[in-house]
Amino acid sequence: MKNNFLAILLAAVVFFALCLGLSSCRGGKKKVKGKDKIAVVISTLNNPWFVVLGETAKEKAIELGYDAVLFDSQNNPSKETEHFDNILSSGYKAVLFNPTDANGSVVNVKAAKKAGIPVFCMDREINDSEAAVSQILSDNFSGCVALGQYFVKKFDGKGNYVEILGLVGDNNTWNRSKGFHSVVDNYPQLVMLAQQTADFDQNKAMEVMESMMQAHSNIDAVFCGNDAMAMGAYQAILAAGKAGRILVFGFDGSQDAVNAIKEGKMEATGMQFPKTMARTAAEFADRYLKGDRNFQKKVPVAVELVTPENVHKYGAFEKLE
Amino acid sequence: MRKSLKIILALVAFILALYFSFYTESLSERQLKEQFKEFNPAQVVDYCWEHKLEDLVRHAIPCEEFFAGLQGDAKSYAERQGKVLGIGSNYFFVMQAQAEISSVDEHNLYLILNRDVKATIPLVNIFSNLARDASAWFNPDDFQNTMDFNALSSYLNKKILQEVLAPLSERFSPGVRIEFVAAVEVNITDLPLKELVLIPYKIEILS
Repeated sequence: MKNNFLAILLAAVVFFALCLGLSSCRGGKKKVKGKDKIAVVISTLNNPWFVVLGETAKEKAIELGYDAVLFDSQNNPSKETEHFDNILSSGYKAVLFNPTDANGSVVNVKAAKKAGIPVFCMDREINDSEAAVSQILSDNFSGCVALGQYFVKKFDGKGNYVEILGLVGDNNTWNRSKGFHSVVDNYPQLVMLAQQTADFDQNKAMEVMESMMQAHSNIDAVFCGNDAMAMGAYQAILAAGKAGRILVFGFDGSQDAVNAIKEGKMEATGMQFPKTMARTAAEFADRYLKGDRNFQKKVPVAVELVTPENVHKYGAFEKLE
Repeated sequence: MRKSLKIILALVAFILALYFSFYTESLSERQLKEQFKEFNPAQVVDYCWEHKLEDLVRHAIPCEEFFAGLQGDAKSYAERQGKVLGIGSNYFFVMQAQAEISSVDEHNLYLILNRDVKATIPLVNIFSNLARDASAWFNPDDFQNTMDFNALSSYLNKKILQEVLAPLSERFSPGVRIEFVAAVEVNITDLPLKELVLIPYKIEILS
């Protein structure tokens, strides 16, 4: 009896050993674990600035050894929520996130946090300092303070201007506007004739500028909350035969804007660094997934003023070496 | 032996549990956090001005050391002595110096520092976050959003205009010597320095 039992046990051990050995020898290769996935959720890919942000984040995540997928929220909070529902149920390990709305997007980030998926915001913040692991943001206020000072100098403190705002639900819109006005409003002879949103969209900005020019014949300048709108405003100004008479100011540091400044079509822009923000977010996600939990909640990224005097130092969204 | 080991282990576990149940922080830090609970930029700035200004002034970098440091390995110097908010090439310093006023107009007073660096102190409008960021009194992580964080600058800038500059403005004239402690911003990719804007936390007229 005892011998039978020992024999059976020995046979079982040999059988399992053979199974293990064969499985490791199959095809001459070991079974490789799949890569972790990172989601890159961008507010809209209809704007070149955000394309750079998203593509850079994706490239950096891949370089760090992850699979990365880009999601376009089309500036639609509902679409963004759908993406997050997908992300939460599909095994993603982290989200690099450019929110559509500072308040509306909080619920998505909180849902991800609850599911144990860290979120790193890029460029746009959410109005919750605990939900995201870190928020990497341009210092829009300081950038537009510098722009406002240049604006005042350009007009020697006198003139009429209009302002075209970005998305009203985006804190960046108000940081930029407030930064600009914190300077310009101290000069009572600089008069704002109109202020209207064009949602950061080039075509909408063209239409808004057209209607502003119809309502006010004495506009000297337009300050736009981003370069895409500045390009749209410039198109309207050009079509009205007022190029050179209405000066255009933007924000972002896009290739179009840098070229326009070189060509004398635009006066200035605030250069943001989306590649820096995107790479930092991907690196933070990598550190987090490797166990690091020590992150600053808000990481401001400096904005630099680009004017005709220094435009030679800049390329699209970056300072040249 | 076994019983005494059990007692020792139980004691260690108890001490560890007690240790992790409490944390300590200084009273001043606690009071500062209380200020942040319901956000009022004036209260937050006034508190820091009253309790932290003296320390800031005491640790200001002397002018000669500041310029010498930037002439060498500027990046290393800036990383050691300066402050940076987040990511960027702009570093903030608090500098102490004496200088003679070279000229004054309705907006600014003008000085020459270190033989050939033109410096400007604004008298009517102070813009930017320079004074806030050089002080290192405020951490953006403590604020719900960047608009609240920026509101601190607006109030601090007004305070400097009203309490530091306005009382002395009629005495500023060319040839007058002043001593000051001021916030300075340097972009380390734009060196050597040719011009500086100074936002003073303290100014004294020497002559």
